[in-house]
Amino acid sequence: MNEMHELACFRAEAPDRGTARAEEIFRAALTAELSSERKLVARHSKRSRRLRPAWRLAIAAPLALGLAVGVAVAVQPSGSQPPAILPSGSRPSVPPSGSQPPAVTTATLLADRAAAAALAGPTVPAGQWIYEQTEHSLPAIIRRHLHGVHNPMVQDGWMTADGTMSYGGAGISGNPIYPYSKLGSLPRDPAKLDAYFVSLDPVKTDDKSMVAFSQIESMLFGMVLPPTLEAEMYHALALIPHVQVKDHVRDIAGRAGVAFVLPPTKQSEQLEIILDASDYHLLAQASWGDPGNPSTLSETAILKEYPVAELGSTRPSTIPPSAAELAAERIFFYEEYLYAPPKINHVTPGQWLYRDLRTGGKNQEIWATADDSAQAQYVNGTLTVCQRTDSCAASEQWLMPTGPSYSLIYPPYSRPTGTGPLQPVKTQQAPPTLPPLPRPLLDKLNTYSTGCADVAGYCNAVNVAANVLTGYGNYPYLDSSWFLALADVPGVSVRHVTDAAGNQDIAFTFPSQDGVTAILVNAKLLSAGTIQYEGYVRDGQQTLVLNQALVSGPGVRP
Amino acid sequence: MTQQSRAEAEADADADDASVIQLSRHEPEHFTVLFRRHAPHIQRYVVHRLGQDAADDIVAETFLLAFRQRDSYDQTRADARPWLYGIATNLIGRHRRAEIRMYRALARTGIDPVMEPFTDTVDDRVSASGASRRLAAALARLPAELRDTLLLVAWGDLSYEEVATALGVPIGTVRSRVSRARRKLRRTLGDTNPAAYDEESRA
Repeated sequence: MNEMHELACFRAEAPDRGTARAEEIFRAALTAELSSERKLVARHSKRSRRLRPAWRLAIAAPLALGLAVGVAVAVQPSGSQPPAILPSGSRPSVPPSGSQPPAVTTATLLADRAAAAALAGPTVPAGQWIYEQTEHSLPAIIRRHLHGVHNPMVQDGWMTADGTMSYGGAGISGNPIYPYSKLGSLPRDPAKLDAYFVSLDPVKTDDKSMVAFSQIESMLFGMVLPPTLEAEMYHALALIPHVQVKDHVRDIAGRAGVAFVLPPTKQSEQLEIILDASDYHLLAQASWGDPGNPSTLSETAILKEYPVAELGSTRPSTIPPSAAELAAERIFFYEEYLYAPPKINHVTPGQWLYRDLRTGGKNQEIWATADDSAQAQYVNGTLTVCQRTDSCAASEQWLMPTGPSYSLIYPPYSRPTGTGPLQPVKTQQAPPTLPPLPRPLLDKLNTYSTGCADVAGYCNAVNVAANVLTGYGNYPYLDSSWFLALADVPGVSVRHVTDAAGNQDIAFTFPSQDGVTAILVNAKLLSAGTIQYEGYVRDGQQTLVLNQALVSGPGVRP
Repeated sequence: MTQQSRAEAEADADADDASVIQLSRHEPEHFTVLFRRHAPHIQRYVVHRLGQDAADDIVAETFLLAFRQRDSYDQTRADARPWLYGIATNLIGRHRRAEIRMYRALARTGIDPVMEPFTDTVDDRVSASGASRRLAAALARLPAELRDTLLLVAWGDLSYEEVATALGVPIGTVRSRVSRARRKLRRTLGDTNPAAYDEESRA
């Protein structure tokens, strides 16, 4: 299959061999390991720098864990070095100097303040689109290989509040570890929450503090939590063993902050969650390979994050999504995940498809190529085939009468030039496509003239969408923002209907009576994760696609 | 570390992984056989995900952690690769953000931070193909468990059963994860290049 082939070609130029350096580190570490087992002072190679602290902690950890949970407190004056690894509680507290604002002395106190700030925030519905602009800083080890790439790098994009869908550069880690839909069943007690997150770790990592910290981090940054739960997350953070507070930090965007810090362990880099120093909202997540050494810093700072009315909008809005938008989001989500693969996908433009259509109680068998450049029907028992370029085309009722060309929706693809996967390939000029975001896409679709009058009501866009869905043979991989675009048509609603073939459908219903007034998607299949377009309603009459199948040529039945 | 005798080394070369691990319980030096045997493959897998520099550390640490856990190794498993890949995958998990950022950097710029060290001259440093960029974008967006599972199959060359062992999940879970991950990648690639699949299937 192609995606596996692409994966096999991906980074195929990487050398297929071990390195002397890896072996050197391993041998040094093994020597040290054996030495420490024998209670001898280990001789460390320079390269084993990052491995060494691990062993020290391995010895220190039992001591640290023996201390009461939540006492891990360190006060760090501005500009001080991050803490070395010591059993928590053994470090003397350092009071902040007089010229600085009072420090947040304990993780518990910081959690209290952050929780209070969270509780004052709004509750955002799960399907609400959030606009997010983030700044990323890469560690030098990665950065030095990136020529001509700005660092830090600013990205923006959209995600839904529940973190299930993202578009562009939004979302920190793709998908949060714990699903939003199950938030209700999380323990309502910070200590139990930590324990629960640790229990979810599939690989049973030894370092439970790191697991709990990372999980909470992914919850805070991967979705917009309900205020009470966000507050609980902060309390849970403060209870994680070894978690400390670092005052007077600045994130990569230069903003003053105060951070929850988990010092480095054998399992982990130093992890930080930075909150705004004045109002305690989330600013950034950071990790340090070598605490205090800026070249090992990896950080993502949230520059902007607020609810917007729709995917593609950058204007703050707390208008919750409509029923049509939520239905379209569901389609978007399933397009993204495609739990159940569609029967027809990835066909070539010239592939013949058989369709059994029913319009107003009358069935019609029709054959067409995927790009609808040729159609065929039996007329009085004789198969007639018509090409778009032939004279017969003018009198033919085309499945795809008006709209964007097939290649605009499914751009042609040629394999990269080169001498096989081991050679780098030149960047190809991207073929023209339709606008990807819903609103510009809707506007573009409305520019195709379908002969309807209510252009302001987006009649052209609705007609074109129905044409494409019915007439082009690649529908399941249509960009999922098409339904989000339809959900932006003024006055659109979703209704549950039973179509003429007896299917339970979701009908995107449009107020304009000019042309197509409804587009039907199978509701039962959608709830099972399959997107199946059933047909449309025009002039009060349904046109349904009863059957659709790939066939070897015109006139051939499946 | 003591030097192995030639005879011992030859005996190790014939022994399966389980036997080598068994030997290493009392004679730790034998564990280096396991390193030489499997480090190149693990290295390749980790380089694919995180690049050379991180890979050196992770490979070394994988074998060190394996060494520490050698007493609990299941002696019925002759082949230690799933065990080692599982540990390496776990370690890669710590660098999740770095991994994702590198995929994103490739997707956005066409320049792959992972591959940069392997290109010697400016002329060699050409931008990645559109397919690679889309693939990178898709990999960045995969949930961690799907990415781990898929990449163990694709880059670790493990069977579904071996991946199940490596990740400690049932084989059915591996199947469904791979299938979900592939669908997601297919969609990203397929959005803009549907014809590619037919070239494949008809070839």
